[in-house]
Amino acid sequence: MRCRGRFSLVWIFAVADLAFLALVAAATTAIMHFAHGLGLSFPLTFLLGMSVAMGLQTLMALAVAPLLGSIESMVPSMIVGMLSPMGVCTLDILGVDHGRGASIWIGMVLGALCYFYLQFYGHLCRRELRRSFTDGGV
Amino acid sequence: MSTIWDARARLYDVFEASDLRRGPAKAKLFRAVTDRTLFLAIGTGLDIRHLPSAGAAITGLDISGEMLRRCKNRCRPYSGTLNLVQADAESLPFSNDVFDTVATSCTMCSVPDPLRALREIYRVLRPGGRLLMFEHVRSKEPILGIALDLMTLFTRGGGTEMNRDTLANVAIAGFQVVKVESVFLDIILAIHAAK
Repeated sequence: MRCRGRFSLVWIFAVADLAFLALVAAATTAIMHFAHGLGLSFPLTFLLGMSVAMGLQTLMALAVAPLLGSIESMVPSMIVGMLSPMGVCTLDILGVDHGRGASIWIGMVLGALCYFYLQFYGHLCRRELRRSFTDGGV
Repeated sequence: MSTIWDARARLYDVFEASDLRRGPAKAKLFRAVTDRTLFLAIGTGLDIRHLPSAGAAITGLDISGEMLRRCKNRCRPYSGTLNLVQADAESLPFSNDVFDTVATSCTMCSVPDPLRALREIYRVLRPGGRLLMFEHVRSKEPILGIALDLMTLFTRGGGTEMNRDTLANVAIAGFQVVKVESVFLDIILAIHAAK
């Protein structure tokens, strides 16, 4: 029973982490999309969009930290909060015309990709540590 | 330093209350606590629930009087032996080789000189004694590492460094690292070391 409970908890946190990162990415891309709509110069748009996006992701991470863990939420949130808005800027530089809805979807996909990358990296870390410490010490 | 932690004691439980997530890893690590044990930077006592109630005489140490005041409430339901001491981790008020186990939980991010604190731990731990650490460190993944460096710019003022290489410091202080387990990526680690 205890093992099943732990297993359920792992899945609950996996879903919560994925939903949180998708939400952060969607919100920060929407902000950058809005900043691009203001018609300012590119450097100013980038600076304004990134500043607001970073502020928002910090607040979102602080809000979920008591449940998801401070480092467990803040570190991935910062990565997503930096990379997702840059995706909008990249599309803008490439001249790809996209609406607000598309920006949010792009953000959610980037958030999900970031989540899966972190899962993969976590797997590599566990494997590497197991391999390094099987001989009784380093 | 104690002033910072007295102030942080008020919100400490809120932001470190992710026990649902970290609890199982802490319980697994601190299961190895035995005999005369020093719990360094015990804080508000959030980790007391993970300490074994039998077979250990625990000394909980913290630099902050406010943290220890809050910790006293968590000590009451604990059925084992647990005494609280207010002192600096970099200058431990104990003789050499007196503890069988030293445990830390998110401590090495918060002491101004982690190497000095680790050398003090080495001094008070008996030969063959165990060091059990639940610590967060800088990631080896470049993007995660940069994120932790950036976060440190904001957290340093509050007494927390997010990008320390605690595992290397443990080895430099003279300990043998026996086992390291990942709790969250390569950022939060459960470290087993021996003197």
